Amino acid sequence: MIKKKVITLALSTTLLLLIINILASNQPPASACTIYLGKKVKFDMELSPKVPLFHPEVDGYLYPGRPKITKYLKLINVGDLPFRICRFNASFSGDIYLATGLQIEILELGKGRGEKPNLLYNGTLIDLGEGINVYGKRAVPPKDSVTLQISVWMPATAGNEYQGLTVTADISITVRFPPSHDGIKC
Amino acid sequence: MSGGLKWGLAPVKASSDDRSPKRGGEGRGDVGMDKKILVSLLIVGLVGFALGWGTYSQFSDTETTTTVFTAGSLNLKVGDDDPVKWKIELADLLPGCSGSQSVIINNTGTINGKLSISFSDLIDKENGLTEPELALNDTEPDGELAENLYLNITIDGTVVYQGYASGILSGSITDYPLNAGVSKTFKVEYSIDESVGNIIQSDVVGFTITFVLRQA
Amino acid sequence: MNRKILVGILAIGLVALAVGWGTYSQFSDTETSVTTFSAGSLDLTINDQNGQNVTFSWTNLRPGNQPKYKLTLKNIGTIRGNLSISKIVVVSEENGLTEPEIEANDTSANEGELDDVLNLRLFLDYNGDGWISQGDKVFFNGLVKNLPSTGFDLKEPIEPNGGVDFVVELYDWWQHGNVDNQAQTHTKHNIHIQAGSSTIENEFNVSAKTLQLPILFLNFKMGKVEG
Repeated sequence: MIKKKVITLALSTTLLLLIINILASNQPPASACTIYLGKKVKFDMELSPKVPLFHPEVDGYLYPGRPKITKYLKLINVGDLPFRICRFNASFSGDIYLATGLQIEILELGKGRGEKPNLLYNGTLIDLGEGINVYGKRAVPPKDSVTLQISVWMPATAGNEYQGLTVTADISITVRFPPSHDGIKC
Repeated sequence: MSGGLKWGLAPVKASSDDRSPKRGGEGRGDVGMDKKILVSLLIVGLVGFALGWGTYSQFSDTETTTTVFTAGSLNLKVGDDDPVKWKIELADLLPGCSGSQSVIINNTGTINGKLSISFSDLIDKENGLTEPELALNDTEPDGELAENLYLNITIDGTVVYQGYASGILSGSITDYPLNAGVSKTFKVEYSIDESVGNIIQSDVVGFTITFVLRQA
Repeated sequence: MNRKILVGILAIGLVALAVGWGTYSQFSDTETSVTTFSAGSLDLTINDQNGQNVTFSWTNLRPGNQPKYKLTLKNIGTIRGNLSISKIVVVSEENGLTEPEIEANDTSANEGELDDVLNLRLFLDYNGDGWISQGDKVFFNGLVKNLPSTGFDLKEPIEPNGGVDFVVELYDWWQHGNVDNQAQTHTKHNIHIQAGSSTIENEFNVSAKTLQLPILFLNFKMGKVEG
């Protein structure tokens, strides 16, 4: 009699866990959270500044050989779990062709003064559209942040075909948990 | 990118009883009963753990920043049309005549530029001999107008070339600043001295003016 | 091994430099414009010809005859011109003396007398009918001897491809003085009309009651319009 009850209990709990698993897997990745037996654990990152990072009204016009324009983007850990940068992606609108003529360099700045920045990406802006996996150096704990140094420029070899073009690039940065190096991509 | 339960399972295992509300409805009682409950919990935990092992996943979060880039432009506009349609075509020039032709040169682009002006393809044609020219023993093929047509070519007053049309190929100006949105006047003044005679009759002079705007 | 690597790197560097050097470019824009200056021309033709001889002859003149000769002057240039007669030279020739002439005390064998008695009219024939009519411009009516050697500053504008008829007319010639005996001999008389650098010769042949016409050079000049 008791054995039956135990088995029933085990099966119903297993079923419940399965349902919770399925429910959790359907949640949007933007703000994954989990409820497990009463405690809420949040995984969340925020960017700063929230305004467009580069804009012609602030930065002026790009032309071949103009010195790099450099901006700083802070990734703030507003969740409960540490994160590591794992992927960049971009989507374009407007004169997408301009993205083929721009170079972008993304550095992960170190914490201390003497710490050398970590080069995450240096290439053509358009190639970010394919999405690239990177391995962030820092595991950023909750309430802490990591700063990216992003530079964009038009190489001196760019030709007249880029004149007057405007492109909007929405650059996505993905961070993941766990932060430990285990070879798993985002 | 799913929420997972791997971590959740460990606390289940390690937590004390007051953290798990879902217990069976059985009441407490004898030790045999407690033992059974413990065993069932163990089974539940093992099964749950087994389930979690196969579905390993991790948390991730993606945030997006917007960036807008505009490439500058350098656009040279000579006169009212782009590409240029303005040209100098003067006929029936005579000894003692003089005049000028001007055009506005504009950098309608968004970045500063440097303007260069040069001349090429000089034509100095006899264009047939009128009877008065023949009387002066004029001959084909070279005309005499180029050496008698005096030119003063300037951009906003700065001299580009000053001299007879025959020497125009040596005239030029380079790196003349033309900032974005700025216009300057390009002027060609010409004259033929009164003393020049029939030798220039019907002669033709031509040349090409090339304007290049480069980024500053 | 290290040296090989170094050389390899250097080679790559040089190639990169060369490639980069050649492909350096900037934003630029080029515009070209073609300029043409053409000189005009002024070219006077007489009877559609440049520098040709034109001959005319008047024969058997009787008092009352009004022989005339018309020259068509044209501007085949590209600009408007001002027509004038810049020079007139009168050469009078005697071709021997006839008996009546000797009787009339003509002692000079080489000088003619016609220029003293011959009356000419010179006019611009606008309507081209060969006669002096309303609108035509008579600019000389008098004895040949009174023709000004400096010509006439007509300033007659002639448009490109335009023209005007110029008429030399013997008029009232029979009314001036003692024509008959002094001016006798069958002679050839030439009127030379010179325009610019070319010469047109006109032969005049008078017989019977001959009149010796003097040689008349009319130098036409066409210059540009002032102002």
